[in-house]
Amino acid sequence: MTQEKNSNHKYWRSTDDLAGTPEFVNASQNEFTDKAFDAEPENGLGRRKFLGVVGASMAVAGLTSGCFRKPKEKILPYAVRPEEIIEGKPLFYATSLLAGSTVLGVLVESHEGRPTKIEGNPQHPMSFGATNTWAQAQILDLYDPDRSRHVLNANSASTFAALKLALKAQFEADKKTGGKGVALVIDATPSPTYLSLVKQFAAAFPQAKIYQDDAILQVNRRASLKNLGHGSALLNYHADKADVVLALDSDFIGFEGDSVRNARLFASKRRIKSEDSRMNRLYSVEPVLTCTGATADNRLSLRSSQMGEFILILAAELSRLGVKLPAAVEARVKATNAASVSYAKWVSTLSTDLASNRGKSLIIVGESQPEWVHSLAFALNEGLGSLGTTMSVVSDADATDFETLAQFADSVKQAQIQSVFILGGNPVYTASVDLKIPELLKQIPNSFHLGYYPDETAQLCTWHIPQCHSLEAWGDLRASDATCGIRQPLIAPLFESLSEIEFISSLVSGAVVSGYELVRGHWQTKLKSTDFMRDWRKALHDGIFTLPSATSTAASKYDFLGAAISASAAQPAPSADSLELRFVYDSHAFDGRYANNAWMQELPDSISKLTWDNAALMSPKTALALGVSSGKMIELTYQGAKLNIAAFVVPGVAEFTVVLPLGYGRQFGSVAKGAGFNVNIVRQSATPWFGVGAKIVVGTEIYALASTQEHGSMENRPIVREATLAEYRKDPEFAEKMEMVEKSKQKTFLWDRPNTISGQQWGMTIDLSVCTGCNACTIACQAENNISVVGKKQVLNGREMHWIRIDRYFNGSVDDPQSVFQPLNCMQCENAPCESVCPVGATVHSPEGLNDMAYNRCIGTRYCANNCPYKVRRFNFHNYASRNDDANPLYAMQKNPNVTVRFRGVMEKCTYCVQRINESKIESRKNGNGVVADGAIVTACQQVCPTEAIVFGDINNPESKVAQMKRQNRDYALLAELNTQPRTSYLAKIRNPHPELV
Amino acid sequence: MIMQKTTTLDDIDPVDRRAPLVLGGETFHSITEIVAKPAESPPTKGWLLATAISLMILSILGVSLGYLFWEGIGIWGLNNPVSWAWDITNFVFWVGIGHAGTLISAILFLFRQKWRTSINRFAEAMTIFAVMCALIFPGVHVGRVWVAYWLAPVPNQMGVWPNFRSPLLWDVFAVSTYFTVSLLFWYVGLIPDLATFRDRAKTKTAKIVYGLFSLGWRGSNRHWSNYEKAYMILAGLSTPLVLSVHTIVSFDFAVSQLPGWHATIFPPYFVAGAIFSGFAMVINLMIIARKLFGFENLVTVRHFENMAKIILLTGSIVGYAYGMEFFIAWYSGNPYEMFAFVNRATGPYAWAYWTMISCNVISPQLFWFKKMRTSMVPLFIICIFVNIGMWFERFVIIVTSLHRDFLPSSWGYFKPTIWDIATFVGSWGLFFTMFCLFAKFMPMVAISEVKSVLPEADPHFHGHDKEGGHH
Repeated sequence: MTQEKNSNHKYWRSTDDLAGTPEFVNASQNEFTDKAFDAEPENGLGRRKFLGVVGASMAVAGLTSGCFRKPKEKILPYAVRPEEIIEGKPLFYATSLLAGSTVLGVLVESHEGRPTKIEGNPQHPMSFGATNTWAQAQILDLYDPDRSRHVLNANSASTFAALKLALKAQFEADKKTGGKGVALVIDATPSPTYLSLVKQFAAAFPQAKIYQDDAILQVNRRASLKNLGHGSALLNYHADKADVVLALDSDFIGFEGDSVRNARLFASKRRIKSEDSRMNRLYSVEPVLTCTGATADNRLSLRSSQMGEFILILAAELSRLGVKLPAAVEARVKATNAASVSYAKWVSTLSTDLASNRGKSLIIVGESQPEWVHSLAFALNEGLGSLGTTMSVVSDADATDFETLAQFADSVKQAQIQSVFILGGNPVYTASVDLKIPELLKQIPNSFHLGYYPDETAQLCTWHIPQCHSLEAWGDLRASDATCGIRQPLIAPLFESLSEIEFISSLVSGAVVSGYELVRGHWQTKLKSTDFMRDWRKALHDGIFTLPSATSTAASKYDFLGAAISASAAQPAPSADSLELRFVYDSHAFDGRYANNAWMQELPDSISKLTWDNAALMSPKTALALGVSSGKMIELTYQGAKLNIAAFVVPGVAEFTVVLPLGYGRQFGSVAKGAGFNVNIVRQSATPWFGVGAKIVVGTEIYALASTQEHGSMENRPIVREATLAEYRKDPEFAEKMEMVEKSKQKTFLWDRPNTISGQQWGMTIDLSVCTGCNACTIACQAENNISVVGKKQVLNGREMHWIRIDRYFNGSVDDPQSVFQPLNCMQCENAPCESVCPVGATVHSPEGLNDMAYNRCIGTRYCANNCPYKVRRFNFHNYASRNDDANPLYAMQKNPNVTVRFRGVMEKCTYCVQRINESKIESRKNGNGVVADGAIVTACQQVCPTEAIVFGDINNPESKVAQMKRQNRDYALLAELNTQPRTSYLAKIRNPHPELV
Repeated sequence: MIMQKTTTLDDIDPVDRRAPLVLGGETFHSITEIVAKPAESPPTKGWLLATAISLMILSILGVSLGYLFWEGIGIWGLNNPVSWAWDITNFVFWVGIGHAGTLISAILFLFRQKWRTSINRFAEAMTIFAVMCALIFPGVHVGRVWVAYWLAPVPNQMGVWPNFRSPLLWDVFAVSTYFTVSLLFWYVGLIPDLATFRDRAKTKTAKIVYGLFSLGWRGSNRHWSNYEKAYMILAGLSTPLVLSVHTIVSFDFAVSQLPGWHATIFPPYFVAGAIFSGFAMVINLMIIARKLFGFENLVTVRHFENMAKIILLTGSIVGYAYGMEFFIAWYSGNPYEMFAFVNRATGPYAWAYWTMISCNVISPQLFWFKKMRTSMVPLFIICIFVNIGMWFERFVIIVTSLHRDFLPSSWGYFKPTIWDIATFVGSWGLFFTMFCLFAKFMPMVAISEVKSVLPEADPHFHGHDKEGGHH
């Protein structure tokens, strides 16, 4: 692509530029919580602070001299060193975690018995060594000061002894009645031991009822597979085998399902080495711009309610192209008229592409779509030969069908329930409003809640029992491809608590059995191994059990499908009168379970870049039609329920659709409370994901929403360089041709070039073609480098501290936008503008090409930040680290001991994880010739990246992976015309849209 | 020929055919009386009130700095793209104000501009106090104020040394040198007048203090001879400093790579701007002091008119520089540069830009009219505008360049907090407090120098010979 062509790319301004209000930040209604890492002191100064200020004022007046003292603390060294522990050397343990809706195999870093960081387990097929944001953030949950610390009885502190008595009495009574009037409400933790214990409970109390409610349950997909004759089963995708992928209302590489696995496999087909490489193609049809839609080569913005119509037209087209579909479907789709829709060309192109890639294509449907859409997609997949190649059905025999929360509500209404045990989950908050769970729960005389937080549900239960963190208790987790991993504890519970299996064992047998016994016992019976302890130890070490395949081989039955399709009524066309609500899991809080995690709260959303809040998202066109602007409070009325929420205008939302992220507006938690709006209060259990018929009244109040990037246009600057595959093939040097100043005319060094020839020289590349903007690098960096949380007020003022941020730009038209991501960390310029202007030499160049920060030399003039063209330097405007510690005394336990915690007044920035570099250097000097092998140093952002977009290594070694990447013709330096000579370079983004749809 | 309307030919100095510098037939004695009066009479109500208000404003500075040291730079509105705002704006503003004093004392002295004599002391005092205010800001704007001394090349056991490539370090030297030389120059000029105060002092304390500071001045020919030499040397030393200090302050910006900062026009443009604002401030202060202390005969309309002309000249240079910046931004073909300037004039800070243009470019053009140059009310108002405009000039340069630079993703907006405002307001408290003390205890007009421009001081003076001293 030539530069001229580039200027045709119409990059336009972000939503607020459209609305004409450059600043929607208004403090008139700032509902920010009082405690949530609040960076400004509220209500003026406290007494101690006042005295401090007076003291400091006097120091200014020369009356006294200020001095800072360290607190006196006694520390005790080990008298006898524990086995395996060498002080300063972390140990890694393999375990499994549930992170969002995926099970991830992880390796947890432990410093002297203190878990500090979670990494992916390379052997686990769900993580491949990477993780998502939630897995990274769970280490902070472990040290959450709001976590449950006591048994609660009627909301006041009680003891485990008292609880045991109560449970004993309950157990004796239930034994007599066979569990009549007892309800067990469980979450969907996919743990074999847990589920076997639930079965044991059902056997022991045949009269008891078991209900299941969880955001990760995949209700529609499971129901569809069951109807299709696959029994209890799940789908497992092999995106590495697909050349054409259609994501239908699915963020499969972002935040839905096994996103880490999907992203890794998907990216393997997308990582191109040269213009001759092949590349897969992703079509995405979605109601709101997601990571998947932003990555897609062809994206179609469509309301969720119209996905059914879309897939019917697709089925008709495919049928026309000779794809064999079940008779029931054939009959139904014959009547479908493809020409009637605006996206007729889009869908016909897609169907041609799918049909010509049989066996190499894949259709993925998001969980929110109704069951019949899943079934129809399954039929299409089977017709296209995807089943067994790009997709497999995995039997999940452990999962038994349980009743739903709606059925629980009915039973309570009929006064059938006298006692309830709620295991995990927070139904009082997460349940749809029509179920009236809070009122019903109050009607049950005996209620027990096992939970990690004394949350909304705990407050309405008779008893609340603290639950262990996943890193504190034994357990096991089964991934969607049937891989099982042991969850082994890294640390004894910080507060007296029970794991879910220990608690349920006490319900079954009347006494708590240790988690270790339960898990080991389960696997011993299940494996029937000749040398169980050897297998067990191997499983603990590797993190996974090697089990026989569980792929379902049953033939699919489609006889029900025709009727199911016909039963789906036609949906109204988008208009202001048929406003659609679409509920989505939030990229920070998920369904609310991560809402009390300050790292998640402060992590900017991939698309909206919102932090600390959710908001009603709508497209600029819809907002204009409804008279809404960003930050305006609106009143939504839907099925008789009302919701007051701030609006946020973001491109890419389908026409006349309001997207409501779940998980905010919590009534609990010092971080979660006060952040955002609870949208469950308009959610209906019958149609939990989308529905038409909402009404909006625009209010006058303005709510301050903290978005970290307000400007979405590149202003015609060659920042993210992008071309289609066809353009790239035509002009392989397009990235270089987009330079603002021709390469040959760019300035050279005024003085001697810094040493770049001898020794190992560190460098990085980021492949924009595969970056999905998932944010995992940002939060992994935060966990690795002790980066402080600053709070909403500070984010509003642009003071967030993330060392690697993800810039998001929009292009295309406002109604049909495309989005690109660019992770930006310190570029480690060879000719660094920051270095020359620091008056005290606090930022200097290392012989290995790093731009080092000497924190204890920094006096905080901030000149370096002014002179940094990439604006990647972060300043400690306040003593954020100490504020974090004040808000969370346990936070210190998470800290990486190899990274300095920065004091106020100090500049900080990405170091290329210099602590990891030095560790590897020490190892290589100890064990070899002092040359670090390629791949031995993995930066935190690189390690976590699901798509392996980030490559780090020695650029002086021509064989190193990073040197090879830098030799690619797509490689370019950002702002090269400034002669900063950055060590981080980008590989230009290549999209592979269908030529017909360009 | 002379075509003045306000003065008759009688009033015109017979030698250079211009209006005399001292009016009202003041004599050697009466000049001493006028200047020494405030120091020798009990404090007036007006002075007490002014001092009390100044001290109150100064206390705002104390509280602001106290809270700043306690809590950190975060109390200001700074953010990630805008790492400097009011702090450095205030610094450059005050340094700029501090320019007029030395220019009047040194350069006009070397050019034998006799009209400087009545205002030089006052302007130099203003310089010293303005530079004191200026010095606060780079000192306190750093994140860790307790180690701000690392900016100075203090030998230490760690062997770490400042980075001499940093313009901020050049600043440290430039401003501290300027302050030191200005202080010395001022003090040397004060010695004969302090001796006059000492000789007239009634109280013991005054005798001791003035005695101490007048360094045993007896007014002998030898003293005068040494004094004149020292004064001449210091004037010579100060002259390049007038140009260097603001040149180097401008390097803080010009040496960086930020569009809107990175410009070779900055040194002359900053120096002109500094003189512009300095003279405006002298006029503002002088108009008040002249009225309050009855210096009408010593500081005459002719002085004001001359200063207004300098304001007109430097204001036009500044206006030219604004235009040239735009031209070069376009002519360079650098899209970042073009954007930075278009953004200044039309972006979110356009209000600041147009405030600056109207105050700095348009308002001084009124000085083409003699009436404007010679009547006190318009003079005062225009000079206030110039000062506002020059503060905004620094704000515009610093903030509008920073808030939108290379990558649109990191663009932001700066809003001052109450503490930004309080620190700036407080610095005026320091300035005025120093001025009140100066007005009460120091000779506000250089007695000996003013006497030297009286006709009587002319060796050829023959009594009240209205027709001039020819013989």
